[in-house]
Amino acid sequence: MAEVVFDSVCKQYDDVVAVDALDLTIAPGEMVTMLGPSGCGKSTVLRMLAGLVMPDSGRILIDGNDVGGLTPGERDIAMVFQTYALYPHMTVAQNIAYPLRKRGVARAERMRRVRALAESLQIAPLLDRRPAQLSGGQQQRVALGRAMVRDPSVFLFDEPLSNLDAKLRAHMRGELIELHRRLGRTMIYVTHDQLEAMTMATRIAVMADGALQQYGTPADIYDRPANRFVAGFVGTPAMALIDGALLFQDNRAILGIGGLTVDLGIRRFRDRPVGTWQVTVGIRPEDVTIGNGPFAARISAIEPIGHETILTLEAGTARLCARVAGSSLAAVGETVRFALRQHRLHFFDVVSGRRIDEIGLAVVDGKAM
Amino acid sequence: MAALLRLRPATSPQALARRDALLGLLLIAPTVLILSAVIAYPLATTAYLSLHNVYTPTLATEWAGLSNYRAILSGGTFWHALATTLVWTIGTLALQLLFGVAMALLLNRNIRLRALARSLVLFPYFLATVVAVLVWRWLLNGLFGVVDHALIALGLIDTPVDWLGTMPNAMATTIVIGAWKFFPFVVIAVLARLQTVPAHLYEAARLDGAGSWARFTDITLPHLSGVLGLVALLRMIWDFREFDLIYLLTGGGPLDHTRTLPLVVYQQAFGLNQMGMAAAYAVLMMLLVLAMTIPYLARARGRR
Repeated sequence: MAEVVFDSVCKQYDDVVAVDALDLTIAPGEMVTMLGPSGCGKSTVLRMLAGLVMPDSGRILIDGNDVGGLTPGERDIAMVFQTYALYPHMTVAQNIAYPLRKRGVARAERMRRVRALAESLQIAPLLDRRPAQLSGGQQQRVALGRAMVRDPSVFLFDEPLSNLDAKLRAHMRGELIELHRRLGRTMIYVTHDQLEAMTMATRIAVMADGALQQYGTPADIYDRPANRFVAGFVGTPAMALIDGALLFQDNRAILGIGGLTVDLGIRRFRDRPVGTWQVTVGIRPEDVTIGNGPFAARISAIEPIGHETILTLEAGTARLCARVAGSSLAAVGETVRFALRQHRLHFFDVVSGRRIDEIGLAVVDGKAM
Repeated sequence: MAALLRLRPATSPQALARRDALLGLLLIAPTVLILSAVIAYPLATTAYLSLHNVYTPTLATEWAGLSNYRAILSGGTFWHALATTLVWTIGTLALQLLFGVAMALLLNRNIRLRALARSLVLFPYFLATVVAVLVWRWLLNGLFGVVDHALIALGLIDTPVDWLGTMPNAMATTIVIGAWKFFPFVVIAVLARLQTVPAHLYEAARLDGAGSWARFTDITLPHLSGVLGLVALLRMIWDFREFDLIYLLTGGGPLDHTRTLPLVVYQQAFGLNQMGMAAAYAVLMMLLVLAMTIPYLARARGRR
């Protein structure tokens, strides 16, 4: 097990800042997913750790050792690529044995370890085949085998499931979780698929524009997004983000969004500021309850998924989604009444986009009233 | 009764198939005709001539049977020329592949002015042979050639070297100039293949602990094997039949030390005015070239 530390690591390609002063400490044995949209720098982070890309500045430490001067082969790291990167002219057995061969492990020992690994990955009958003769799922297992065979202290995965069909992807997610549990190694997993990130990770690092947005458990990320980007990126359908105003009056907070007025009471804001604050309000679809409630909205779209139905609502100028169990009898254009789970609303500073929390407005955004 | 009432299509499937077959023949007819005109007819004529004694200036022809072939295979000229041809072909081909692969690897890297270097490297291949040979003969000239001058200045030799007039210099020089002239062909083919090798394979190999030489032998070479086989076959055929470069450079000399089979054909046809003998030599050359392609065709069929 190994601890991985990024210490103000920067990387720039020509004019584009790929990674901007990344500080991140990954505890030993974690399964961390780096989540973010294309071009957010997550792959660059992985490749810098692997030694395939050199950082412009900053240090990367594995178990306290600066790996800046080590070649990829010396870093005790294995990587599974999106394309699997199996050597096409070698058999499955030769592919898996390759890292051992390059490290001078004797032939008999190589064969023994390859065979044992093939048994555990259920690819023993395929050992004499070539990658081109395998299905995507089988190639994936061979790539895993090649990563596992030399028992590295850190595993890296670069979108390893994106070339598989949906059913196989779900199955392999389960296998990777099991693999992590069994090996207990530090694993870092790059993906743009939030379902993979949420289901597999012990911790998620959300990245955007080369900067780390939030590092926390999946529950943290979902329930307490650190800023507007994380709030909008994680969750399907996305959290509605609506600009509004918070009015503090007589020790009560009153929220005005898109023509709706919500009395939040006094419990949320410790500092009990006064006056009007411009905020962005985040509302997850499951926190909108349809049927009864103080608000009215027009249904502008209905997406039945089977076990649930997503309704898109227009209330005044605000647009938000609601999740309804089962199928809905409502029709587009109808007006429905709804309520909000007030204690589940999220607030973000309009300017900085950062989360405004129970700690108080004045403390979080640094503006005194 | 039901059988009598069965509906019959106006046109039977057999008739339709016949009509398609006729259209097919019509469509390939132009190709077949052109190929016949430019390949089959000259081939047949050569084979016909090789069975006759033909006096080149008058084209007076008399039946000779297999006597031309008998004379060629029992005489020493053919075997000596064949050995010379093989030395030239194998020597220049090996150098072309070596230079070609090395240059392609270099041009595949992210070097500065790569686009310019890629075009410049093709220069020898596009240069007319007669121009290239004239330039080389000047460069190698013993009185005022730059090559001797530079080597003397560097202290490597004391007196000018006779590059083309003695053996083994003449053969070595011809082989090297042939390699210089034709290695860009290897570069183009190999470079194109190199660019299709997935970069992830090299990254995976680096993580697996492979150094640069291991990455070359374990990833690059296996990817190149197919294109190298094809390029080597094509260049071997072309080098085997190479005429103008050798003829212009040495004329086959000194004596007959660089006289390859194509030069013998030319000498027989226009020097000795024996078109029938020349044709017989040409037929034998064709059979040898065909033999060279057999391993490749066998391998291609095995892969299918």
